[in-house]
This record gives sequence, structure tokens and C-alpha cells, in this order.
Amino acid sequence: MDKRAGLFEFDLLWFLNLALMIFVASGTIYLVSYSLNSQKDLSTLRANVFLTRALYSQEGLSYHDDATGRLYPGILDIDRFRNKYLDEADHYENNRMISANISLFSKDGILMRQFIYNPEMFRIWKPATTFKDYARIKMTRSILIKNGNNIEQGTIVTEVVTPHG
Amino acid sequence: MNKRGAWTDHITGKLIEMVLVIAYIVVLTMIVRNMYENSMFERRIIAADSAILIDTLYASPGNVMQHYYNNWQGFMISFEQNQVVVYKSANSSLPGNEPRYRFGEDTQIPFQYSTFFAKGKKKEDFLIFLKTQNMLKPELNPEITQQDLKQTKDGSVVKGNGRTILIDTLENNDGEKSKTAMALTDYFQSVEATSYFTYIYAAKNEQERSIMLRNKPDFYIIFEPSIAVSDRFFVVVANKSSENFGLGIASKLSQLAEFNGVGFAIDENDAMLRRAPHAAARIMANGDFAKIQRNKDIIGKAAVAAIKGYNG
Repeated sequence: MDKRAGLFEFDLLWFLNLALMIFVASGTIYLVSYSLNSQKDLSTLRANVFLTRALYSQEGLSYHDDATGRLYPGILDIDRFRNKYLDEADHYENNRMISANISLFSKDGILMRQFIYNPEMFRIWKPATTFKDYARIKMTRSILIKNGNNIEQGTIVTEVVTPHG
Repeated sequence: MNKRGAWTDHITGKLIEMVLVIAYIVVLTMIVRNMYENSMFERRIIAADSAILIDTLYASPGNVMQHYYNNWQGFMISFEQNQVVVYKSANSSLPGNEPRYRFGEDTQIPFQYSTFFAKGKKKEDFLIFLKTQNMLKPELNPEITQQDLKQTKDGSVVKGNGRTILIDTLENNDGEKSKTAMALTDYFQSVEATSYFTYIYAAKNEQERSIMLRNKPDFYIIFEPSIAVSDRFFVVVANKSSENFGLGIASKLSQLAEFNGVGFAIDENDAMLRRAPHAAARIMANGDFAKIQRNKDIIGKAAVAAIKGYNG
């Protein structure tokens, strides 16, 4: 009776020991692998870069005085608020990484202009944002709008859809 | 079970444990060694970092010369159409699963494609990006004297004119996902926060607090006091030692018609100074004024001052 109990205790301890060791070993390997293989998700950053380029680059949407060569970042030229200009300023021959729905609102919240950058992919990717592979990032910025000779307050709302990673 | 049986079981158990421990050590070593030799993580960072840097330079309306200081030595870095590819070595230029990252080109400012290989392990080759109104090109060891780089921080703008931007790379932040993500986010908040720096050069009189760009006495990048700008509001947060300087800047900015309100606050314990420009820019860019009103910290006070100035 005593011998049986001793044997049982020995086996139980041994299995517990083994199980603990396997658990610790696999845990460490998992943690090391996870930290070494971690991917960078730069989708939010990419969306920020995209908007920054639209607002601040020479060929973007901002008002540019041809006579002086001066660019006015943050003052949008309503005449330049088109896909054509942004496509030229942030141009990809193929496989674009980003698509966006860009809207311009007046101070009172009335939609003034709207266009879609990379419309083909936007229509494909947007429904897929419900899954984890695509990110939808909405950004709102206060801007000034140059409309003819008038400068008025407004906001630009950018809905960027881009693959994660 | 007799004594010999128990002893055999005991030895067998210990042997199995030893085998498992050895297997564990071998597997762990293999994983780490494989990752080290593969250098995929490092190259992925370099590809993304440099592509984003190109995007940022394109976002700058002015001319910029940028020293790229990430540790890319030992790799071959190839700037191709709309993408940066980082190869493990000069001999591995065949297309495969090499890390790559895409960037958008400006049709009016064409990008000059090129490939570079830094042989040395030390940081002796330096990569320069030059952006002008007509082109953007990377150059390896261009003829720039050390004097050009003398007064610049590693990985920052070497020289520029017009409106330009303050750029930080991932150099001090690679290896940790969260820090990198934060650095990248702050990085572009910095772009916004510093895009108006040409306005404030006239208020600059403390050269020791700035980095002066070569041959451009009318242009400075300022690290203190911290400054944040939205499209309509400007926030200056200074510490006690830079109070007068900060006030000078705030005063100058308040005279500019392009800003509806300028806020100023003293950060007596320097606690907020580092993150002030990013946080304030983020709050103000989002236009969340209710949040600003509730915000009791130093950034919030400065932001409220800016809004109050706007509202009279």
C-alpha cells in the first residue's frame, strides 16, 4: 500500500515537473519568436503622411502663389481640390498603398467639394475594413479655404483606407 | 517495484528532462540566430523608415537636404520606382522576399532612382537626400564638408530654405514596436508643428538653443521652447530658462494675421516640454475645443489661451 502510494506520488510529481518545464520552455520560445517577428503596422502613420502631403507639398491642394513662388500650407485652394492634383503630387504607377475619400466642409458643416483618391481600390478595400487586414482612418483638420478672393474657415475630412502593415 | 526499478525510473526521468532542456536551448538559439542572420526585422525598419522619409521630404514645400542616419551599413539599399528595397548584401539583388516599402512620387519633382551599398560596419558612409524644386535624389557620400554636418544633429536636416520641416528618424527607437509606432506618430506631428518655422526666425536670438543651418542665417530649427501649431492656432510652451525667448516668439506670432490665436504657458518643471508640441498639435489639429477646455495641464492652458485670444 505504501509502495503504491509512493510510486503514484513519484509519477505525479514527475509529470507536474515535466508539464511545468514544457510550459515554461514553450512560453519563452513563443515570446522570443513573437518579439522578433513583430510586424510594424504603419497604416495610421501612412494616413498622416498622406494628409500632410496633401496639405503641405508644393504640388498638393494648398494655395500656391505663382508670382512669388510662395506656398500657403493649410490654406486650401478650392480650385485645386481635385483628384488630378493629388494624384500628381502623390503618384504611384501601380499598386498604390492608400486610398481616401476627401471632403471639404464649410465652417457651417456644408459639404463644398469631395473626391476619391485611388477610387478603384477605395471601393474594393472599404468593405474589407470590417476585417483585420484593412484599416480605416478618419481625420479632420481645421483649414482655411481660398475661394476666389475670399478666405473662409472650414474643415477637411479625410477617410483613409489602407492595408495594415 | 524494487529499489533498482525505482532508481531506473528516476534516471530515465532525469535523462528525459535533460534531453528536453537541451532541445529547448537548441531551438531557442536557432530562432535567435536565424533572426540575427536574416536581419529581416532591421531591413524592414530601414525600408519603411527611408520610404516614409522620402514621403516627408515630398511634403516639404521648400528645398531640403536630409542626412539619413539609420544604421544601414552592410546592406544594399535600392531606391526604385515607388519603392525602397533593402537587400541583405550586394550579392543578393535578385527579387525575392526582400523587405520593401512604397512611397508616392511627385510627378513635378521626379525621384532619381539609385542603389547604394555601404561596405563598412561602421557608420562611415552617409546617405543624403536632396530635395529641390526640380528633383529628389539620394546620394552616398556627396561632397559635403564636415562643416556642413558639424552643427546638425544626427539624422536631421543639413540645410534648407523656405519652409521646411523637422525630421526625426527611428534611429533611437527601433527594436520596440510600441516606441517605434509612437516615434512615427510624433514624427509627423512634428512635421505639422514645425512647418511654420520660417515665420519665427525674426524672433530668434539665442543661437545656443537652436541648430543653425549652413549659410542660411535666416533659418533655424528650434528645439526649445516647444511649439505647436494647428492651422489657425499656435501654442508655445517654454521652461523657465527660455521664458523670454518663448514670449518673444509668441508675441511675434500674435502679430501674424494667419494665426487666429496664440497661446503661451510656462512649464516650470519641464515635465511637459518634450511632448508638448506633439500633444498640443494633435489636440488643436483635431479642433476638439471642449477637450482643451477640460485639459488642466500646461498644454491645455496654453491651448485655452490661444482659443481665448481668438474668441477675444
